[in-house]
Amino acid sequence: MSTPLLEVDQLRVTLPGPRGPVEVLHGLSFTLGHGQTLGLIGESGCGKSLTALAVMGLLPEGATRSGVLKFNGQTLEPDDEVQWSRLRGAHIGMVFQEPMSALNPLHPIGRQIGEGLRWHRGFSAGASRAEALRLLERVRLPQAARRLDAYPHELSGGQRQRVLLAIALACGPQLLVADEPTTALDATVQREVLDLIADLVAESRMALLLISHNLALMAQRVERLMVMYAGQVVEQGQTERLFAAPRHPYTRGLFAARPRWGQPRDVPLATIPGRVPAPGERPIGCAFAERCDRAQADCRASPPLEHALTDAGHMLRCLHPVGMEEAAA
Amino acid sequence: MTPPLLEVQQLSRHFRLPRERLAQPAPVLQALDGVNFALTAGRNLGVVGESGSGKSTLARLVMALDRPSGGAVRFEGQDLHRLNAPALRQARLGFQMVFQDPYGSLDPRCPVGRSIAEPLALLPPMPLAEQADRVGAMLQAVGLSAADAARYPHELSGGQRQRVAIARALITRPRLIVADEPVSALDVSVQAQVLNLMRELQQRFGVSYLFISHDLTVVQWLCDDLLVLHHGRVVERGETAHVLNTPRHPVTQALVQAALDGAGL
Repeated sequence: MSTPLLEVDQLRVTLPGPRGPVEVLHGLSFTLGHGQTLGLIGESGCGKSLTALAVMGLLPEGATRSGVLKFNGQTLEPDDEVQWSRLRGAHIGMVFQEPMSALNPLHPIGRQIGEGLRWHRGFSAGASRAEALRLLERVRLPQAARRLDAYPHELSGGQRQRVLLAIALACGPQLLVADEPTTALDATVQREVLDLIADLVAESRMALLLISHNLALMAQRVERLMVMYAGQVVEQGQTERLFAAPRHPYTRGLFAARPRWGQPRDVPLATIPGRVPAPGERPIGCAFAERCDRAQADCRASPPLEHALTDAGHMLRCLHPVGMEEAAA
Repeated sequence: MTPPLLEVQQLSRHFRLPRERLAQPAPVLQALDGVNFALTAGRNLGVVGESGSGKSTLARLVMALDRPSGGAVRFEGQDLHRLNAPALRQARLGFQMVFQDPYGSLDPRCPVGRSIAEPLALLPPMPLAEQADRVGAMLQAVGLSAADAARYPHELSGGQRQRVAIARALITRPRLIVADEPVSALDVSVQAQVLNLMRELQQRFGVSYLFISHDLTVVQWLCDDLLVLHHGRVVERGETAHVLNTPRHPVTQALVQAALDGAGL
């Protein structure tokens, strides 16, 4: 069996809080194979971005991490900055939410794209400029040659996100981590940028960890989905199966909240009542129980464990899953 | 016959771009080109179109935040762009706006109660106690509590901030709210809550929405009528159900197809 590209086992992250440290990720485990695509969904405050930051070794100051993180079989220590800086940019590419603040306003974009190549690969100034042009063409920035010397403020939001993608791809990473790459963009540009990411991932056989709150756009672009709630994975499985038959009441609630095509106008949209518990306010039992219409006494008594379902790779953390009454009885 | 709530006639806006060469005339971008429509009180109009189709330019002109190159925007019969400044300020009581980004549209240094009370400056001065009462009542109407007036935007979630933005838009009891992608930046679960709230407030306060969105699934649920913009021109319009069942223009057909792809999950 070949080693997976990324292995995460029992990842726990604790952040400093006003009343002492608070655990915000509670034992996350998942693997991502070479060239595989994984989507991460869940409401704001469920720990999606922290998961991405942990995978990139970019946890905020004061955070502590435990559990195992392996990239290509190599264990990554939280504090080994030398090891991380060799990985980041070279083997792990990153795209963030804010294309405005992720670029340096003082340097032309061609130079910023070439930076990784000069640093990690020892390219000369001329060679990195030529490669930057090739990359800008690959991310389909119109008039790429003219734009090499443009500054970030001369580009639109969507164009800046393309430049960030070019930077992320410069060294041919094996993993691309994209945290809400389109949220700050005009809603109609989102589709274009996500299509571009999907195409680039398929072309270059990169693995992709994609975070987005846009379920519809996400569903068409990743093979597997991982649903997070309050710092835990509550369900993961193949995207199509998850959409066809969500088992966790939270997953079902997220899917149902989208208006349906042809939904009568006098029928209100389905919602999930309440909100995500703040870290540190987690109940003893299932963190979703308070908002769940299927919750029973045992849900509140002890936290449900993650268990595998019969279909391949489908994991669930629920005592009374949807559509499986006989199993729960 | 009473005039429609909002009437837009031959509305155009072009932008002069920077010259590429000194000797050449500056290129002109036709952002809106001869747009016509009317919005009847009590109905919602959805405006859809791709990025760059002129949706937000239209919103800015309807809100009188920008001046048209040609044509007219009539709100309750008054041509907004011909009013003098004091008259326009008075007219603004009748129409308000909600933006896509609830982070950017609230002042981070102000408690949200003050942001909500700001449009009240358009009314004759009222005692502070009455202002506070109105703000509290409006916060309750959008599903928050009167005590939230003292909180700052960073203490609120994205959905709560958008509720605050809606409260601010409603406080002068307007007849029209222009909402530019009001739920695109929110989590799905919160999107549904905010959309349900908008519907509920419409029934309670009798407001109409000019609802700008790229998401036809949302538009077909909220809007009676639909307008499709493409390169600054109206390419299709009519009753939402009718347009979506028999889309004629390729742009509309593509938008419907995209929505069906998303819905068939």
